[in-house]
Amino acid sequence: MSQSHSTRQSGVEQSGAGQSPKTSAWKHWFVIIPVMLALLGGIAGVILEAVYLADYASHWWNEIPAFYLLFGLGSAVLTLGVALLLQRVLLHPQHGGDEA
Amino acid sequence: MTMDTIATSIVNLPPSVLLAGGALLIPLLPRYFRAAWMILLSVLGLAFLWSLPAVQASEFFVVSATYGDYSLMPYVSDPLGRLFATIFLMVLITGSIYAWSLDDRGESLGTTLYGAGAVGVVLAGDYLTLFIFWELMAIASTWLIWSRREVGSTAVGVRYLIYHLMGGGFLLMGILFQIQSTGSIQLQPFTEGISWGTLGQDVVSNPSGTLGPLFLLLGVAVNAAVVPLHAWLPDAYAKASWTGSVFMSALTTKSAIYVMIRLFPGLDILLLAGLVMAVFGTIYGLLSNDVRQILSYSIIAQLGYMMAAVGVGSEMALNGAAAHAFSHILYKSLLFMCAGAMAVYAGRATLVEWDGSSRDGSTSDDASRDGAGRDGAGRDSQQWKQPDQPLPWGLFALYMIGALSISGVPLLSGFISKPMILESLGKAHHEAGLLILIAASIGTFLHTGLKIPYAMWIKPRLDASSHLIDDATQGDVVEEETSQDVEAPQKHKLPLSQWMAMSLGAGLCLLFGLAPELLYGWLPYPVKFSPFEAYPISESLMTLSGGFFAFVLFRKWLYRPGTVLDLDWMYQKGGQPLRKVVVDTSWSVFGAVDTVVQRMASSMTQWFRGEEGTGPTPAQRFHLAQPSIESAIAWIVGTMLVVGLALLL
Repeated sequence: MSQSHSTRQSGVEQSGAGQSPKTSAWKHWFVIIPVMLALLGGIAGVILEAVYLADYASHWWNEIPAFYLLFGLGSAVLTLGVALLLQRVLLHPQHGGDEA
Repeated sequence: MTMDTIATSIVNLPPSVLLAGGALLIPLLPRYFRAAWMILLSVLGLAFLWSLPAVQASEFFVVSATYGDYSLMPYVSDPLGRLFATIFLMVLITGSIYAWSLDDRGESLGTTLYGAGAVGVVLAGDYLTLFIFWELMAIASTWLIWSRREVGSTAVGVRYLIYHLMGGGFLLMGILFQIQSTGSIQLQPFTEGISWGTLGQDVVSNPSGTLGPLFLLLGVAVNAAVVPLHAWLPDAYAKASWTGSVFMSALTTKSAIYVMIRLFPGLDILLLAGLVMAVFGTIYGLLSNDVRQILSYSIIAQLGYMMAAVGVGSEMALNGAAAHAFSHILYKSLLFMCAGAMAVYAGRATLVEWDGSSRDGSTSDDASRDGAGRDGAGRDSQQWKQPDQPLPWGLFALYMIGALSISGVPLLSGFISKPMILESLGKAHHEAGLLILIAASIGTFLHTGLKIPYAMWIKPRLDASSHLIDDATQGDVVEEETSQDVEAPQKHKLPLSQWMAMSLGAGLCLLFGLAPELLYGWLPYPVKFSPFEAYPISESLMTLSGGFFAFVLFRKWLYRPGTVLDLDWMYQKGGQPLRKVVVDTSWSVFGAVDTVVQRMASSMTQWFRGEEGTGPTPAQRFHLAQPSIESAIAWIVGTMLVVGLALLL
């Protein structure tokens, strides 16, 4: 009985590679915290631009509000899209990665 | 000789000579004394370097010697060289702390000699000194790859050595042409440089004057990993020993950037090369699955930044290139240290591996799968293999300091140099280049700042939580599965020295990020730039925020195990016929000449001995007909000497 109990307990831990059961309670925070930080960063950047850089015009794109936010999203989507297209050609899945 | 003279002589000792001389003692020292000795040598090197008088850009401290008709300057301490030597010695200190428990005399010796080579290159005032330390660096760093003692690393080390000997050969040819053209061996910037429009005519009208800088550029480009001469870098850094890759990430490419700044400021082709490198490194970083390979491709992208700045050539751009090399060494060595630590906990060097069973219970051998964990419809069907044990959050914090630094987040070291380069491009009206570099910076954030930490820390925990929920609802299944696997995973621990080294690296990233004037005071030109202004801060925050949400959208398609084919695969394939012709023809010629020479020698011997008619037996004749490796090497070396002499003449 005790063997079965301890096996079951260690098994629960192992199924999460040694995670404690508390991990599941934290699960949403792994997503929420980074998303909040990214949102706050973006908003702070836009506010900073609106307050301090309203008259700043060094390049043509400075006249577009929140240009860098759009550029960040657009260029990242483009980069990721190109990478995913190239992945089909350049990634050879039959070779495994390097073991430590 | 007075005490003052002796003291002055010691202080004037080049740090490179101090390191190289001190390295000779390393094989004699016991285990922990070796790391302590390496740290002591680096600290002394720093002390000697900074004990020299304060110098201006136009006047620098020189220790010179005369060799033949040439005046050698093995120790020139001007602000640019001193900046690079300082960061090299700093990384030798942090790296030696990281390698404190390393028990490999050869690797410790190789590391110190490698450091001596790199410091020697950036303090050299003449081509010959530069070349000697350049080659020392190539040979010693190869040893760090071989130190891993794996079949794969041996082959990669050979390839790395061939690349660098080839680069060294180009450098030597450039130096010889340069000496022939100018009669001087002093390092001087090529203000006239290479005019690409009239290159063909220039080579004909002034061969040595044109070929000198051209070959020098080619030789340095190999070490600077300029695309398409870069393939050695992701290979070597991913296969080197765990401690070796920390030093390699800092020294070879950055010493090449130093030479680029020194010799080719304002060479327009470098701007284009830099943009290509930035984009190439970013895309390949997103494709790779090996942590150190991703970091290696991100080195190429960051080198692209520096190269573009050298191509712009203004004082602000050159300051930016030097400052970015400095900050890059800080955070990249931290990231490589963290990569080693990750592998200890995860039990693998890769981000993704499938655990062999799919979500529907079938095995990975199922013929309907494509080997990348996708079923026939291209959907993810297999489960990620969990790391051996969860990676600690302390390591996450240290890694993220490095990752956010490289991404150019305000208050960290990358932010004090990257905007300087961007502003220099803006001021030079290279607006397209500016936008490309910003896009590449976002790409760096995607693979180093998001892809790696998501796979190593977040995803395993999310999966583990899902398993726990599944297990709670399927108690019987848990009982059945776990009864087959009672043995707990082995717990790994990092040595304290590695935690200390990573903390020191992270602390330096924070220090220079918070107090950029510390670095700006060391730059070669006066700095008229502050990163803590509204424009760079808002630009950084907005672009990174946009990049983050793009990653959230695309993340599930980014993780595929496998090997990425780099450009070298393509030119190796294309070059096979050429290789066949060159190698096979050379081998046949060597063999034929060898046979003729040996037969002539044999006949002459017999003639001298008067043993005509008693020649070798058929078996001996067969042996003589085979070209031996020794004679082939002798022929190659002899040919090289003749060519070298011809060039000297």
